[in-house]
Amino acid sequence: MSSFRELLGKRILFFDGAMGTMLQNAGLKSGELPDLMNLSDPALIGGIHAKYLDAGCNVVTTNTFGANRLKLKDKVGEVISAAIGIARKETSKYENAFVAQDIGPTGKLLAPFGDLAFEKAVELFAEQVRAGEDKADLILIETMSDLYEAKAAILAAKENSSLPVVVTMIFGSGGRLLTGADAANAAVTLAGLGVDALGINCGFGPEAMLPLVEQMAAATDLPILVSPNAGLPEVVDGRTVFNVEPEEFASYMVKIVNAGACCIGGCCGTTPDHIRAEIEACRDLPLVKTERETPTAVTSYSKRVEFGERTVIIGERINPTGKKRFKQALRENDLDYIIDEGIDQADTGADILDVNVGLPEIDEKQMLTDVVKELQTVVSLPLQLDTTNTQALEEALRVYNGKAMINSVNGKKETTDAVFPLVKKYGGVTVCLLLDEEGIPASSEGRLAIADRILKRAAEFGIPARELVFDPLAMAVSTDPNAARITLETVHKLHKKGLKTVLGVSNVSFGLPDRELLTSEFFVLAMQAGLSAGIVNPKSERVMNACRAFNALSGRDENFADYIGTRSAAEVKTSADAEKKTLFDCILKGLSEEARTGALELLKTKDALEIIDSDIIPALNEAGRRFEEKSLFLPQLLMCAEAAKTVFGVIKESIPREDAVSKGKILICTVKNDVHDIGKNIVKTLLENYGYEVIDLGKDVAPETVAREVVSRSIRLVGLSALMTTTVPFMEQTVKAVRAAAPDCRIMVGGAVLTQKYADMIGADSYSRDAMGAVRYAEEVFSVK
Amino acid sequence: MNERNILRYLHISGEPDDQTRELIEECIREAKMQIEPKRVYRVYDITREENGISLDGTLFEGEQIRHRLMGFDQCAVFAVTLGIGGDLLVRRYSSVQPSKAAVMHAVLADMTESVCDLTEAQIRKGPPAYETGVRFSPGYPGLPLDYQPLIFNMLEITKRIGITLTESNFMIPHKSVTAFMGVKEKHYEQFSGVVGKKNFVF
Repeated sequence: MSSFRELLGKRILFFDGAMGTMLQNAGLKSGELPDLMNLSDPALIGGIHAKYLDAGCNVVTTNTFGANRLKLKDKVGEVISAAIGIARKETSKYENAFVAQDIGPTGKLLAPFGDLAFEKAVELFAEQVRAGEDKADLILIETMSDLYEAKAAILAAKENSSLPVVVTMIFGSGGRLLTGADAANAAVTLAGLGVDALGINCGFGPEAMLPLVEQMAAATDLPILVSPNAGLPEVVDGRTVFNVEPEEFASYMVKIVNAGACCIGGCCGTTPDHIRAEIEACRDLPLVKTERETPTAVTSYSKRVEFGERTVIIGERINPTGKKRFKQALRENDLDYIIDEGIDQADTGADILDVNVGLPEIDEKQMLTDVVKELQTVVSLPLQLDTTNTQALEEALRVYNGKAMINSVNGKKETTDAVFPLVKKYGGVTVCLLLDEEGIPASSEGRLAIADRILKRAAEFGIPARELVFDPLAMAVSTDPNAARITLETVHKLHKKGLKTVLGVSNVSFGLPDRELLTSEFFVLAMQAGLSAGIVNPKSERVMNACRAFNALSGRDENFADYIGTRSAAEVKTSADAEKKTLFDCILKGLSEEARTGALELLKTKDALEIIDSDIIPALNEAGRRFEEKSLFLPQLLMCAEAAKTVFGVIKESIPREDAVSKGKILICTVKNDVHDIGKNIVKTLLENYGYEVIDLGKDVAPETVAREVVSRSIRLVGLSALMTTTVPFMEQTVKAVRAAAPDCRIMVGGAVLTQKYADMIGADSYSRDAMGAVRYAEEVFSVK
Repeated sequence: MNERNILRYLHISGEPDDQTRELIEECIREAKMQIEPKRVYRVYDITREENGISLDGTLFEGEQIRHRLMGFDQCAVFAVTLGIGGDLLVRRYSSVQPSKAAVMHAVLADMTESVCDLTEAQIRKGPPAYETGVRFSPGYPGLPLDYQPLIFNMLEITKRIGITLTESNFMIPHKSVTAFMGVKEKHYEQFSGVVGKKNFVF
């Protein structure tokens, strides 16, 4: 008898069909927990396994789809143990028959969108895995609609078991997962996490799955498992039925095997007859391997970036090196500023964002994790985690929703040996700097020798060459006139060997005037030499234009779509610059871009603090006044606030730090159990504009947390928001907690369901009808010293 | 799309200025690319209980629900969602461009209403054709959020259209609605169904 691992990918393996359908046929009512039947009716479950084995399948799946703590409370262990026992009893009668411990989704959505914390999900799955005690032959994680949840389950499996792990995803209409990832993205992300096989189940019938299987097969060389439904569900007489009969089902499964699947089974609506027909039709088919080499790729929750023909643009701006304002943002924990840099780069054409938030005086592990979590909720680009701190790297890789780029290792063994185990566990494409203990070799041969060494070491960790990208290091030509030439030579040689390359392009121009010119020309030369990816500033039009022109000239821009698209946008922009407005008008009208240029212009002749007093504040006041008299509405008020924020940003850079004055610190949040934060965010925006420092604790914040932060930060004013009647009690509790901890702290409340009466009832000091109301109250509080 | 509703959600009375109008149009364009409206519904026979009503064995306790379904023998239960794309959009803009987040929120709220209206129309059309009452949702006064897990279970909402419940029974994606609606059959046939559609035309 062989093990599952030995047979996987060597021959076609047949998984069983639906369990739920069989149980419903046997009289299970909707709403009853099928998992409990392992205890109440083991013979029925065993009988279903027996039917599938009799039909000829190799793998039966335990009846434990929903056997997690959320559904079964403290029965998890008992149920899973019984289920595996039932399945094992049946498989032991056959040669090469295996038990898959089944793990389905939790039914909750993970944070930040849902309320299940990532590590909590890992814990839930870990309990299931441990309950299986490795008594099954493999772990089957299935019907996952969210890659992040799948990742939690895979980590739980890997950390608590040595069994092979197989993962299948359920795709929605358009062949996409919940968060927008396509089948190729799913394949890349799952493969990165080190699963033994991956694939698709449920959601569609076999015909609709075929193109998804093809996409997966092109993106990974791992074995693929496909378990379709017997068509689409229809409800007839209150019961769900499926319409694809066994013979038809089997004929599609032949195509699925030909598309590259080597494990097939069935999901909802399939019966032992479907499986029997499928086995009959596919048993003697040869395994198909795709011709195409598996590409180098990284992913985010929704996007996949492949290192192919076109040079990949990696945005370099999230990095404190040489940036005063960025360092200040890091020290002040100003995530918004950092996130803005990310969004700007995404908008200007980056494919991947480098994230470097290391400063000696901050906790890099915490900061990198926070920034990654925040960035991946607002930017859909894959991230490149740029740190020398291994702990920070691991923590960030863990919470990252996708397969990241890792920056970096080099020829020194201590770097590869610290990072490669993490790459193996979490997946990732690693940037390899071609330097070692001796420094950067002067010749391209010397750099290539380091590349070889890194390749060898990676192979020892089981990491193939396609998961590495080599950086031959662009050095300043101002210090060595040959620097660019040697670097380009190395890029070319690596490219010829079929290896991927990356360069921090802008280093080349260091120390010379008009750096953008040299940088963009060097970028073109490097692309010509075969550069796979450039770490550049996507906000530099010159650099991006050089790249676009190169793509257009070298046949990499189909129909010149990118070139023409960006050219016509540029023309529109220049023609719109026409009439001049005062800074006051620009802010009042909410014209951020014009306000920014206006402020820069004004700063040449006017003092920064004077601009605040004579232009910004009056414009804000005017907008506030018009809002209150209802001649201007919320979107305009906010646009005005945004323009003011932009101008403040410009001005902040020109005032020495100690001169920047805050009118006072205000702490705000949405109360416990409430996840609505739009109103709170609006209040925050306005308060910040009026010069207050706002500490935003976010949403769903416990009363104790608010009280603790109020005390530790010596807060004089707290703003609480609640949208639902059901969460107002938590607002009341929060008011009480703050009162007990800091009797002098004032509390203002607001939110859709609140009224003055409610506010009085729960003991708040002030009720704000809208965001301006909060500003007015803040002015009142802080005017009293 | 109903611009009047969008303006109402934004508390704008009268005509919006050009910039706001532009922002609304921009949001509608972006939202249409990102949302993936889905719905699931079923029609149940109503069994009146002492302390509420039950639908296919699931008891909904409360006077309000009994009252609102007075005069109907059957009740349609449905759930609609715009998918997580809507949440992503609001989140993306909430820190960098709150004005757009606010407008986006209003646009998405209106789109959610539209999907509810379309679902209602679909139920009315049948077959069989139904006369329908006014729809109402958990969270309305007297209709506790505790109904949510029951509805989720009955319609297999998480599995079919991907809405999940938080511990306090809020729905995620946020732009989702569950609702009850009294219905009266015009003909006598059983009917119910599941529809998932991308690129919904509004």
